[in-house]
Amino acid sequence: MNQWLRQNLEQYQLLVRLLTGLLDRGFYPIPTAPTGQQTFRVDHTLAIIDSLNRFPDMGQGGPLKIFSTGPVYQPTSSQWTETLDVEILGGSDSESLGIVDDLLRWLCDGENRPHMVIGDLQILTQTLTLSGITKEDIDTFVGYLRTGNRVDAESLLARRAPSYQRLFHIQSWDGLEMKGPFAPPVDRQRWMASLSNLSDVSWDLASVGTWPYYNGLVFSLYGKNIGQPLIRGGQFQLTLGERVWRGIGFTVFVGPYELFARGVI
Amino acid sequence: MSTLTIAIAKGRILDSMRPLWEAAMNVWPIPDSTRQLWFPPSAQTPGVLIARARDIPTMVSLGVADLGVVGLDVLREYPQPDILEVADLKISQCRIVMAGSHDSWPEGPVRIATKYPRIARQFLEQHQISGELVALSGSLELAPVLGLAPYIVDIVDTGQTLSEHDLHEILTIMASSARLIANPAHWYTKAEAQEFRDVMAYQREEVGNVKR
Repeated sequence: MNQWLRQNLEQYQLLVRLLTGLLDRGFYPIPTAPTGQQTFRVDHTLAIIDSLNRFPDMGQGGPLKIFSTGPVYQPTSSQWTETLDVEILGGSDSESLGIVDDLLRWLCDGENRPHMVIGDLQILTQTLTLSGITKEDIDTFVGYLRTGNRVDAESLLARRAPSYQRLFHIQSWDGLEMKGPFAPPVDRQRWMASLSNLSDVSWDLASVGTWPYYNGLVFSLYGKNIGQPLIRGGQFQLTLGERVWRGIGFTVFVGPYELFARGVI
Repeated sequence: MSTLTIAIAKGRILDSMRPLWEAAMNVWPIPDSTRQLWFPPSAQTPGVLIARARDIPTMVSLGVADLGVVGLDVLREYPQPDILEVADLKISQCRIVMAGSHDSWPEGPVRIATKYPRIARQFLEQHQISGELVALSGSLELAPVLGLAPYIVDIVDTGQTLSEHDLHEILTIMASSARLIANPAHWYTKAEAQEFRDVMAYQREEVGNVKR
Protein backbone atom coordinates (compact mmCIF):
# COMPACT_ATOMS: atom_id res chain seq x y z
CA MET A 1 0.00 0.00 0.00
CA ASN A 2 2.88 2.34 0.78
CA GLN A 3 4.02 2.27 -2.82
CA TRP A 4 0.51 3.09 -4.03
CA LEU A 5 0.23 5.96 -1.55
CA ARG A 6 3.63 7.26 -2.60
CA GLN A 7 2.63 7.15 -6.28
CA ASN A 8 -0.53 9.12 -5.52
CA LEU A 9 1.47 11.61 -3.51
CA GLU A 10 3.95 12.10 -6.34
CA GLN A 11 1.20 12.59 -8.89
CA TYR A 12 -0.48 15.21 -6.71
CA GLN A 13 2.83 16.94 -6.06
CA LEU A 14 3.36 17.11 -9.81
CA LEU A 15 -0.16 18.47 -10.32
CA VAL A 16 0.44 21.13 -7.67
CA ARG A 17 3.72 22.09 -9.37
CA LEU A 18 1.90 22.43 -12.69
CA LEU A 19 -0.91 24.51 -11.18
CA THR A 20 1.53 26.73 -9.28
CA GLY A 21 3.60 27.18 -12.44
CA LEU A 22 0.54 28.33 -14.38
CA LEU A 23 -0.54 30.73 -11.60
CA ASP A 24 2.99 32.15 -11.50
CA ARG A 25 2.77 32.76 -15.25
CA GLY A 26 -0.40 34.81 -14.90
CA PHE A 27 -2.97 32.17 -15.81
CA TYR A 28 -6.45 32.33 -14.25
CA PRO A 29 -8.17 29.14 -13.08
CA ILE A 30 -11.65 28.46 -14.42
CA PRO A 31 -13.73 25.68 -12.87
CA THR A 32 -15.66 23.36 -15.19
CA ALA A 33 -18.30 20.85 -14.13
CA PRO A 34 -17.56 17.15 -14.68
CA THR A 35 -21.15 16.57 -15.80
CA GLY A 36 -23.67 18.64 -17.68
CA GLN A 37 -26.47 18.38 -20.22
CA GLN A 38 -26.79 14.65 -19.54
CA THR A 39 -23.19 13.99 -20.55
CA PHE A 40 -19.86 13.66 -18.82
CA ARG A 41 -17.09 16.18 -19.47
CA VAL A 42 -14.97 14.94 -22.38
CA ASP A 43 -13.17 18.21 -22.98
CA HIS A 44 -12.51 21.33 -20.90
CA THR A 45 -12.33 23.81 -23.77
CA LEU A 46 -16.03 23.84 -24.59
CA ALA A 47 -16.97 24.15 -20.93
CA ILE A 48 -14.48 27.00 -20.39
CA ILE A 49 -15.73 28.93 -23.41
CA ASP A 50 -19.32 28.30 -22.35
CA SER A 51 -18.56 29.92 -18.96
CA LEU A 52 -16.73 32.89 -20.50
CA ASN A 53 -19.45 33.41 -23.06
CA ARG A 54 -21.77 34.53 -20.26
CA PHE A 55 -19.69 37.68 -19.79
CA PRO A 56 -20.29 40.51 -22.24
CA ASP A 57 -16.59 41.30 -22.80
CA MET A 58 -13.22 39.59 -22.67
CA GLY A 59 -12.22 41.44 -19.51
CA GLN A 60 -8.76 42.50 -20.67
CA GLY A 61 -7.06 43.70 -23.81
CA GLY A 62 -4.28 41.20 -24.31
CA PRO A 63 -4.53 37.48 -24.60
CA LEU A 64 -6.60 35.95 -21.82
CA LYS A 65 -4.61 33.17 -20.15
CA ILE A 66 -6.74 30.58 -18.39
CA PHE A 67 -6.66 26.96 -17.30
CA SER A 68 -8.91 24.31 -15.89
CA THR A 69 -8.21 20.99 -14.29
CA GLY A 70 -10.01 17.77 -13.53
CA PRO A 71 -10.58 14.41 -15.18
CA VAL A 72 -12.21 14.04 -18.59
CA TYR A 73 -14.31 11.07 -19.62
CA GLN A 74 -13.30 8.80 -22.47
CA PRO A 75 -16.54 7.25 -23.72
CA THR A 76 -14.98 4.40 -25.68
CA SER A 77 -13.03 3.05 -22.72
CA SER A 78 -15.44 4.34 -20.03
CA GLN A 79 -12.42 5.75 -18.21
CA TRP A 80 -11.69 9.08 -16.58
CA THR A 81 -8.29 10.63 -17.27
CA GLU A 82 -6.76 13.36 -15.12
CA THR A 83 -5.98 16.40 -17.25
CA LEU A 84 -4.88 19.98 -17.09
CA ASP A 85 -6.28 22.22 -19.80
CA VAL A 86 -4.56 25.45 -20.79
CA GLU A 87 -6.12 28.07 -23.09
CA ILE A 88 -4.86 31.36 -24.47
CA LEU A 89 -7.72 33.37 -25.93
CA GLY A 90 -7.44 36.39 -28.19
CA GLY A 91 -4.20 38.23 -28.83
CA SER A 92 -2.13 37.95 -31.98
CA ASP A 93 -0.80 34.70 -33.40
CA SER A 94 2.75 35.49 -32.44
CA GLU A 95 1.75 36.54 -28.90
CA SER A 96 -0.14 33.33 -28.21
CA LEU A 97 2.50 31.15 -29.88
CA GLY A 98 5.12 32.86 -27.73
CA ILE A 99 3.16 31.95 -24.59
CA VAL A 100 2.77 28.34 -25.75
CA ASP A 101 6.48 28.25 -26.52
CA ASP A 102 7.31 29.43 -23.00
CA LEU A 103 4.96 26.82 -21.49
CA LEU A 104 6.39 23.98 -23.57
CA ARG A 105 9.92 24.93 -22.56
CA TRP A 106 8.86 24.81 -18.92
CA LEU A 107 6.94 21.52 -19.32
CA CYS A 108 9.70 19.78 -21.28
CA ASP A 109 12.54 21.01 -19.09
CA GLY A 110 13.77 17.64 -17.89
CA GLU A 111 16.23 14.91 -18.66
CA ASN A 112 13.94 13.20 -21.13
CA ARG A 113 13.49 14.49 -24.62
CA PRO A 114 9.93 14.31 -25.94
CA HIS A 115 8.84 13.93 -29.54
CA MET A 116 6.64 16.70 -30.88
CA VAL A 117 4.41 16.22 -33.90
CA ILE A 118 3.20 19.36 -35.62
CA GLY A 119 0.52 19.72 -38.27
CA ASP A 120 -1.48 22.64 -39.55
CA LEU A 121 -5.05 22.46 -40.81
CA GLN A 122 -4.84 25.80 -42.56
CA ILE A 123 -1.78 24.73 -44.52
CA LEU A 124 -3.31 21.32 -45.18
CA THR A 125 -6.45 22.95 -46.60
CA GLN A 126 -4.37 25.35 -48.72
CA THR A 127 -2.27 22.46 -50.02
CA LEU A 128 -5.33 20.39 -50.88
CA THR A 129 -7.00 23.35 -52.56
CA LEU A 130 -3.82 23.80 -54.59
CA SER A 131 -4.10 20.17 -55.66
CA GLY A 132 -7.44 20.99 -57.26
CA ILE A 133 -9.71 18.75 -55.19
CA THR A 134 -13.14 20.05 -54.22
CA LYS A 135 -14.12 21.54 -50.87
CA GLU A 136 -16.45 18.61 -50.29
CA ASP A 137 -13.55 16.19 -50.79
CA ILE A 138 -11.35 18.26 -48.51
CA ASP A 139 -14.00 18.05 -45.77
CA THR A 140 -14.26 14.28 -46.28
CA PHE A 141 -10.48 13.98 -46.24
CA VAL A 142 -10.10 15.96 -43.01
CA GLY A 143 -13.01 14.00 -41.51
CA TYR A 144 -11.14 10.75 -42.18
CA LEU A 145 -7.96 12.10 -40.61
CA ARG A 146 -9.81 13.37 -37.51
CA THR A 147 -10.92 9.82 -36.79
CA GLY A 148 -7.42 8.46 -37.41
CA ASN A 149 -8.47 6.86 -40.71
CA ARG A 150 -5.39 7.45 -42.85
CA VAL A 151 -6.23 4.55 -45.15
CA ASP A 152 -9.36 6.09 -46.64
CA ALA A 153 -7.77 9.56 -46.61
CA GLU A 154 -4.80 8.23 -48.60
CA SER A 155 -7.06 6.36 -50.95
CA LEU A 156 -9.17 9.49 -51.58
CA LEU A 157 -6.01 11.48 -52.31
CA ALA A 158 -4.68 8.73 -54.59
CA ARG A 159 -7.87 8.98 -56.65
CA ARG A 160 -8.17 12.76 -56.73
CA ALA A 161 -4.60 14.08 -56.57
CA PRO A 162 -2.05 11.25 -56.79
CA SER A 163 0.96 13.55 -56.89
CA TYR A 164 -0.01 14.85 -53.43
CA GLN A 165 0.52 11.46 -51.75
CA ARG A 166 3.71 12.92 -50.30
CA LEU A 167 1.48 14.73 -47.87
CA PHE A 168 1.54 11.56 -45.79
CA HIS A 169 5.30 11.57 -45.43
CA ILE A 170 6.16 12.42 -41.87
CA GLN A 171 9.30 14.53 -41.89
CA SER A 172 11.62 15.06 -39.00
CA TRP A 173 12.83 18.60 -38.54
CA ASP A 174 16.39 17.62 -39.51
CA GLY A 175 15.38 16.32 -42.90
CA LEU A 176 12.66 18.82 -43.56
CA GLU A 177 12.40 20.15 -47.06
CA MET A 178 12.17 23.89 -46.71
CA LYS A 179 10.33 24.64 -49.95
CA GLY A 180 7.35 23.35 -51.87
CA PRO A 181 3.65 22.90 -51.07
CA PHE A 182 4.25 20.44 -48.23
CA ALA A 183 6.69 22.58 -46.28
CA PRO A 184 5.60 24.75 -43.38
CA PRO A 185 5.61 28.52 -43.83
CA VAL A 186 8.61 30.48 -42.61
CA ASP A 187 7.14 31.48 -39.20
CA ARG A 188 6.29 27.83 -38.45
CA GLN A 189 9.77 26.78 -39.58
CA ARG A 190 11.28 29.27 -37.14
CA TRP A 191 9.05 27.99 -34.37
CA MET A 192 9.94 24.38 -35.13
CA ALA A 193 13.63 25.25 -35.29
CA SER A 194 13.46 26.86 -31.86
CA LEU A 195 11.54 23.87 -30.46
CA SER A 196 14.08 21.41 -31.79
CA ASN A 197 16.35 22.40 -28.90
CA LEU A 198 14.03 20.76 -26.42
CA SER A 199 12.23 18.12 -28.46
CA ASP A 200 12.49 15.91 -31.52
CA VAL A 201 10.15 17.57 -33.98
CA SER A 202 8.18 16.01 -36.84
CA TRP A 203 6.10 17.85 -39.40
CA ASP A 204 3.07 15.75 -40.32
CA LEU A 205 0.39 17.45 -42.38
CA ALA A 206 -1.89 14.46 -41.84
CA SER A 207 -1.95 15.22 -38.12
CA VAL A 208 -5.13 17.28 -37.68
CA GLY A 209 -6.11 16.67 -34.04
CA THR A 210 -9.32 15.07 -32.92
CA TRP A 211 -11.53 18.07 -32.13
CA PRO A 212 -13.65 19.60 -34.88
CA TYR A 213 -12.94 23.14 -33.66
CA TYR A 214 -9.22 23.01 -34.48
CA ASN A 215 -8.56 25.21 -37.50
CA GLY A 216 -4.82 25.94 -37.60
CA LEU A 217 -1.71 24.66 -35.91
CA VAL A 218 -2.09 21.32 -34.11
CA PHE A 219 0.57 19.64 -32.02
CA SER A 220 1.09 16.59 -29.83
CA LEU A 221 3.94 15.57 -27.58
CA TYR A 222 4.88 11.98 -26.97
CA GLY A 223 7.46 10.28 -24.79
CA LYS A 224 9.41 7.23 -25.87
CA ASN A 225 7.78 3.99 -24.66
CA ILE A 226 4.81 5.87 -23.20
CA GLY A 227 1.85 4.74 -25.24
CA GLN A 228 -0.27 7.80 -24.49
CA PRO A 229 0.10 11.43 -25.51
CA LEU A 230 1.70 13.72 -22.93
CA ILE A 231 0.23 16.91 -24.38
CA ARG A 232 -2.19 17.56 -27.22
CA GLY A 233 -3.45 20.88 -28.49
CA GLY A 234 -3.96 23.36 -31.26
CA GLN A 235 -5.37 26.62 -32.55
CA PHE A 236 -9.12 26.77 -32.58
CA GLN A 237 -12.15 28.81 -33.43
CA LEU A 238 -15.43 28.28 -31.64
CA THR A 239 -18.69 30.08 -32.26
CA LEU A 240 -21.09 30.23 -29.35
CA GLY A 241 -24.25 32.21 -29.99
CA GLU A 242 -23.07 35.25 -31.90
CA ARG A 243 -19.58 35.31 -30.45
CA VAL A 244 -16.52 33.87 -32.10
CA TRP A 245 -13.75 32.63 -29.81
CA ARG A 246 -10.28 32.22 -31.22
CA GLY A 247 -7.32 30.90 -29.35
CA ILE A 248 -4.76 28.22 -28.82
CA GLY A 249 -4.86 25.62 -26.11
CA PHE A 250 -3.60 22.28 -25.06
CA THR A 251 -4.30 19.46 -22.64
CA VAL A 252 -1.68 17.92 -20.39
CA PHE A 253 -2.50 14.27 -19.66
CA VAL A 254 -1.26 14.11 -16.11
CA GLY A 255 -0.65 10.32 -15.84
CA PRO A 256 1.53 9.93 -18.95
CA TYR A 257 3.17 13.31 -18.31
CA GLU A 258 4.12 12.18 -14.81
CA LEU A 259 5.77 9.02 -16.23
CA PHE A 260 7.66 11.21 -18.67
CA ALA A 261 8.68 13.80 -16.07
CA ARG A 262 9.88 11.13 -13.65
CA GLY A 263 11.60 9.23 -16.44
CA VAL A 264 10.26 5.94 -15.11
CA ILE A 265 9.95 4.29 -18.53
CA MET B 1 16.50 -6.80 -31.99
CA SER B 2 12.92 -5.79 -32.67
CA THR B 3 11.10 -3.75 -30.07
CA LEU B 4 7.70 -3.97 -31.71
CA THR B 5 4.67 -5.88 -30.53
CA ILE B 6 1.79 -6.47 -32.93
CA ALA B 7 -1.63 -7.46 -31.61
CA ILE B 8 -3.43 -9.70 -34.10
CA ALA B 9 -7.06 -10.76 -34.02
CA LYS B 10 -7.31 -14.50 -33.53
CA GLY B 11 -9.02 -16.64 -36.15
CA ARG B 12 -9.21 -15.84 -39.84
CA ILE B 13 -7.10 -12.69 -39.63
CA LEU B 14 -4.28 -14.45 -37.77
CA ASP B 15 -4.31 -17.26 -40.38
CA SER B 16 -4.28 -14.79 -43.30
CA MET B 17 -1.52 -12.76 -41.70
CA ARG B 18 0.92 -15.67 -41.66
CA PRO B 19 1.89 -15.67 -45.39
CA LEU B 20 2.45 -11.91 -45.34
CA TRP B 21 4.54 -12.11 -42.18
CA GLU B 22 6.60 -15.07 -43.37
CA ALA B 23 7.29 -13.35 -46.69
CA ALA B 24 8.44 -10.22 -44.88
CA MET B 25 10.36 -11.67 -41.92
CA ASN B 26 11.25 -15.18 -43.12
CA VAL B 27 9.97 -16.50 -39.83
CA TRP B 28 6.58 -16.91 -38.15
CA PRO B 29 6.89 -16.46 -34.39
CA ILE B 30 3.97 -18.71 -33.49
CA PRO B 31 4.72 -22.45 -33.34
CA ASP B 32 2.02 -24.74 -34.72
CA SER B 33 -0.34 -26.25 -32.15
CA THR B 34 0.41 -23.88 -29.32
CA ARG B 35 -2.11 -22.22 -27.05
CA GLN B 36 0.25 -19.47 -26.08
CA LEU B 37 -1.08 -15.98 -26.78
CA TRP B 38 2.01 -13.83 -26.30
CA PHE B 39 5.28 -14.13 -28.23
CA PRO B 40 7.84 -11.48 -27.30
CA PRO B 41 9.90 -9.61 -29.88
CA SER B 42 13.14 -11.29 -30.90
CA ALA B 43 16.14 -10.57 -33.07
CA GLN B 44 14.34 -12.06 -36.08
CA THR B 45 10.84 -10.75 -35.72
CA PRO B 46 8.50 -8.39 -33.85
CA GLY B 47 6.45 -9.87 -31.03
CA VAL B 48 2.88 -11.06 -31.46
CA LEU B 49 -0.01 -10.76 -29.09
CA ILE B 50 -3.09 -12.80 -30.00
CA ALA B 51 -6.42 -11.47 -28.75
CA ARG B 52 -10.11 -11.22 -29.56
CA ALA B 53 -10.80 -8.85 -32.42
CA ARG B 54 -12.82 -6.49 -30.21
CA ASP B 55 -9.90 -6.07 -27.82
CA ILE B 56 -7.25 -5.21 -30.43
CA PRO B 57 -8.11 -1.47 -30.75
CA THR B 58 -8.13 -1.12 -26.94
CA MET B 59 -4.72 -2.80 -26.63
CA VAL B 60 -3.27 -0.58 -29.31
CA SER B 61 -4.82 2.63 -27.98
CA LEU B 62 -3.46 1.92 -24.51
CA GLY B 63 -0.02 1.24 -25.94
CA VAL B 64 0.15 -2.41 -24.80
CA ALA B 65 0.81 -3.20 -28.47
CA ASP B 66 2.52 -0.83 -30.89
CA LEU B 67 0.47 -1.97 -33.86
CA GLY B 68 -2.58 -4.14 -34.39
CA VAL B 69 -4.27 -6.09 -37.14
CA VAL B 70 -8.06 -6.14 -37.00
CA GLY B 71 -11.05 -6.16 -39.34
CA LEU B 72 -12.56 -2.91 -40.56
CA ASP B 73 -15.96 -4.21 -39.39
CA VAL B 74 -14.69 -4.21 -35.79
CA LEU B 75 -13.16 -0.75 -36.13
CA ARG B 76 -16.44 0.67 -37.40
CA GLU B 77 -18.59 -1.12 -34.82
CA TYR B 78 -16.35 -0.20 -31.89
CA PRO B 79 -14.71 3.09 -32.86
CA GLN B 80 -11.63 3.92 -30.88
CA PRO B 81 -10.46 7.53 -31.20
CA ASP B 82 -6.88 7.07 -30.04
CA ILE B 83 -5.57 4.91 -32.86
CA LEU B 84 -4.37 5.48 -36.40
CA GLU B 85 -5.46 3.25 -39.29
CA VAL B 86 -2.26 3.11 -41.30
CA ALA B 87 -2.72 0.39 -43.95
CA ASP B 88 -5.34 -1.77 -45.57
CA LEU B 89 -3.69 -5.20 -45.61
CA LYS B 90 -6.37 -6.52 -48.00
CA ILE B 91 -6.49 -9.87 -46.24
CA SER B 92 -9.55 -11.51 -44.65
CA GLN B 93 -11.80 -9.72 -47.09
CA CYS B 94 -15.51 -10.00 -46.37
CA ARG B 95 -18.68 -7.92 -46.42
CA ILE B 96 -21.31 -6.81 -43.96
CA VAL B 97 -24.66 -7.43 -45.63
CA MET B 98 -28.34 -7.22 -44.94
CA ALA B 99 -30.00 -10.54 -45.65
CA GLY B 100 -33.48 -11.94 -45.20
CA SER B 101 -35.73 -14.87 -45.88
CA HIS B 102 -36.92 -12.96 -48.98
CA ASP B 103 -34.78 -10.87 -51.27
CA SER B 104 -37.13 -7.89 -50.94
CA TRP B 105 -36.16 -4.54 -49.45
CA PRO B 106 -37.70 -4.11 -45.98
CA GLU B 107 -40.91 -2.10 -45.95
CA GLY B 108 -42.48 -0.56 -42.89
CA PRO B 109 -41.12 -1.14 -39.40
CA VAL B 110 -38.83 -4.15 -39.42
CA ARG B 111 -36.93 -6.17 -36.93
CA ILE B 112 -33.27 -6.87 -37.67
CA ALA B 113 -31.02 -9.25 -35.78
CA THR B 114 -27.37 -8.31 -35.73
CA LYS B 115 -24.11 -8.42 -33.88
CA TYR B 116 -23.27 -5.05 -35.39
CA PRO B 117 -25.87 -2.75 -33.76
CA ARG B 118 -23.93 0.44 -34.46
CA ILE B 119 -23.40 -0.28 -38.16
CA ALA B 120 -26.99 -1.54 -38.50
CA ARG B 121 -28.42 1.55 -36.77
CA GLN B 122 -26.43 3.86 -39.06
CA PHE B 123 -27.70 1.89 -42.05
CA LEU B 124 -31.32 2.19 -40.91
CA GLU B 125 -30.95 5.93 -40.31
CA GLN B 126 -29.26 6.45 -43.66
CA HIS B 127 -32.09 4.69 -45.50
CA GLN B 128 -34.79 6.09 -43.22
CA ILE B 129 -36.00 2.63 -42.35
CA SER B 130 -37.90 2.34 -39.11
CA GLY B 131 -36.55 -0.73 -37.40
CA GLU B 132 -35.95 -2.52 -34.15
CA LEU B 133 -32.56 -4.11 -33.60
CA VAL B 134 -32.18 -7.46 -31.86
CA ALA B 135 -28.65 -7.74 -30.55
CA LEU B 136 -27.25 -11.26 -30.90
CA SER B 137 -23.65 -12.31 -30.54
CA GLY B 138 -23.59 -15.14 -33.08
CA SER B 139 -25.53 -17.71 -35.17
CA LEU B 140 -27.48 -14.88 -36.75
CA GLU B 141 -28.70 -17.09 -39.59
CA LEU B 142 -31.00 -18.74 -37.09
CA ALA B 143 -32.93 -15.53 -36.40
CA PRO B 144 -35.11 -15.60 -39.57
CA VAL B 145 -35.43 -19.39 -39.41
CA LEU B 146 -36.73 -19.26 -35.83
CA GLY B 147 -38.93 -16.22 -36.46
CA LEU B 148 -36.90 -13.94 -34.20
CA ALA B 149 -36.33 -11.36 -36.94
CA PRO B 150 -37.00 -11.50 -40.69
CA TYR B 151 -33.76 -9.70 -41.51
CA ILE B 152 -30.19 -9.92 -40.33
CA VAL B 153 -27.14 -7.68 -40.67
CA ASP B 154 -24.13 -9.95 -40.59
CA ILE B 155 -20.67 -10.54 -41.98
CA VAL B 156 -20.32 -12.86 -44.96
CA ASP B 157 -17.37 -14.24 -46.85
CA THR B 158 -18.65 -16.49 -49.64
CA GLY B 159 -22.33 -16.36 -48.69
CA GLN B 160 -22.49 -20.13 -48.34
CA THR B 161 -23.80 -20.07 -44.76
CA LEU B 162 -26.59 -17.72 -45.83
CA SER B 163 -27.68 -19.96 -48.68
CA GLU B 164 -27.55 -23.03 -46.44
CA HIS B 165 -30.19 -21.32 -44.31
CA ASP B 166 -32.26 -20.21 -47.31
CA LEU B 167 -31.36 -16.60 -46.75
CA HIS B 168 -31.01 -14.03 -49.53
CA GLU B 169 -28.48 -11.27 -49.63
CA ILE B 170 -30.31 -7.97 -50.12
CA LEU B 171 -27.59 -5.37 -49.89
CA THR B 172 -23.91 -4.99 -49.08
CA ILE B 173 -23.61 -2.37 -46.35
CA MET B 174 -19.83 -2.26 -46.31
CA ALA B 175 -16.79 -4.17 -47.49
CA SER B 176 -14.28 -5.14 -44.85
CA SER B 177 -10.69 -6.33 -44.75
CA ALA B 178 -7.92 -6.40 -42.17
CA ARG B 179 -6.39 -3.06 -41.32
CA LEU B 180 -3.09 -2.30 -39.70
CA ILE B 181 -3.67 0.11 -36.83
CA ALA B 182 -1.09 2.01 -34.79
CA ASN B 183 -0.73 3.59 -31.40
CA PRO B 184 -0.02 7.25 -32.30
CA ALA B 185 2.68 7.67 -29.63
CA HIS B 186 4.57 4.60 -30.82
CA TRP B 187 3.92 5.44 -34.46
CA TYR B 188 5.77 8.70 -34.10
CA THR B 189 8.48 7.65 -31.65
CA LYS B 190 9.43 4.23 -33.05
CA ALA B 191 10.74 4.36 -36.61
CA GLU B 192 10.38 0.57 -36.68
CA ALA B 193 6.58 0.92 -36.60
CA GLN B 194 6.51 2.84 -39.88
CA GLU B 195 9.04 0.43 -41.40
CA PHE B 196 6.79 -2.50 -40.46
CA ARG B 197 3.86 -0.82 -42.21
CA ASP B 198 5.96 -0.26 -45.35
CA VAL B 199 7.20 -3.86 -45.40
CA MET B 200 3.69 -5.25 -44.92
CA ALA B 201 2.24 -2.95 -47.56
CA TYR B 202 4.94 -4.12 -49.97
CA GLN B 203 4.32 -7.79 -49.18
CA ARG B 204 0.56 -7.23 -49.52
CA GLU B 205 1.13 -6.16 -53.13
CA GLU B 206 3.65 -8.95 -53.78
CA VAL B 207 1.47 -11.72 -52.34
CA GLY B 208 -1.53 -10.17 -54.11
CA ASN B 209 0.35 -10.20 -57.42
CA VAL B 210 1.32 -13.85 -56.99
CA LYS B 211 -2.33 -14.75 -56.29
CA ARG B 212 -3.54 -12.72 -59.25
